[in-house]
Amino acid sequence: MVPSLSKQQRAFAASLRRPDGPVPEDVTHPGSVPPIKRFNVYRNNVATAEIDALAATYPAVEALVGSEFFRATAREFAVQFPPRSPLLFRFGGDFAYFLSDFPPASQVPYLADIARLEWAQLQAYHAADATSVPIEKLGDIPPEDVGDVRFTFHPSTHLVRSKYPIVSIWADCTGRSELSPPDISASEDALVVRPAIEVNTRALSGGAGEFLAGLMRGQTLQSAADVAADQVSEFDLSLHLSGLFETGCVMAIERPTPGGNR
Amino acid sequence: MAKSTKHFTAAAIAGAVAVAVGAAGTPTTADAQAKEKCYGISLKGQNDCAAGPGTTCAGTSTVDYQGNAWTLVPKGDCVKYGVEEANAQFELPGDRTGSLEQLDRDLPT
Repeated sequence: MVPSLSKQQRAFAASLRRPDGPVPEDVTHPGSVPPIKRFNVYRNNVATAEIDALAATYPAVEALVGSEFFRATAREFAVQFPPRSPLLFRFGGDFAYFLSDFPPASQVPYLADIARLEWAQLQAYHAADATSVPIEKLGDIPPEDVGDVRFTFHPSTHLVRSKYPIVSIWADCTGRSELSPPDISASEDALVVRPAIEVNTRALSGGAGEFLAGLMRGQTLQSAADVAADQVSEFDLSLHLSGLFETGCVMAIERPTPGGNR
Repeated sequence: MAKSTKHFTAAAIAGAVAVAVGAAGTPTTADAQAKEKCYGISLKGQNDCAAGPGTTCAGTSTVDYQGNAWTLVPKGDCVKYGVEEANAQFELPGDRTGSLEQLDRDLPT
């Protein structure tokens, strides 16, 4: 019996991803060239397209480990985590997870965090457009209520937390910074947001990461500030509040509902 | 959720907000809104965009000054390209000018 087309296609696709597997039975060949040779060309094209896609998404990771190591790693990744969407820019979201458990990459301990940052940047690029709220709107809230406001964030907002100075490393290895190589013992969280056309990446320190994490979890301004001050005693609320609004990551300010205490 | 220590009084929060709101309006250098897309001025392979793989985008222009490739420039600068050529930064060869709209010149064949 002839197998259904979808079954045939699945078998064909599966053998494409098995570098050492046999050629699908129904692949024919003219003349004397064994089909495995031609099929391997196809296999290689698929692998190369996927590796190129990862390289386009993760330029900083590639810069850190070098092209040869990157391509070998990407090839292995693509076998274990093949694309699940026909849209190539959706491919590779598990790369950070893969890298964090990939022994050959363990010598670069921050590699997975850099990958998380680059993935966040790509997601921010493709997130929905929205209008940011200027900080002046916060001035409209009565002072006695302002501690109880919550913020809604711009759809492109991503917080990437790390114990390494990921923003400095990323800026350094993508040629965005002329500063001396970063001090690896410092740590930075990254705020990624695309308020308009460009994706912006900003290093957060001094409790700002903690503060933003709390706000993004839906905590009130008061509790998020308290949590941040728990971590960093000299947490400067007005500085980080202006910094946050300046990035355009706040999309709406939710005022406390009267009597609705939590 | 574990209740955290109260570090800020309501007055301190209100004070910090007032300071932050008061400090606003100072223009910052990293103002993303103050950029515009400018077509027809990028050298090949140097057009901007971060849309990722599988898209026809960043670094994909194949000819210099490709009319449908753009780069980000400070707002207001785009129309200076090819016009205010006394400033070397705005110089474009021939009678080309920058454009806020896609152009049909210098397209790859």
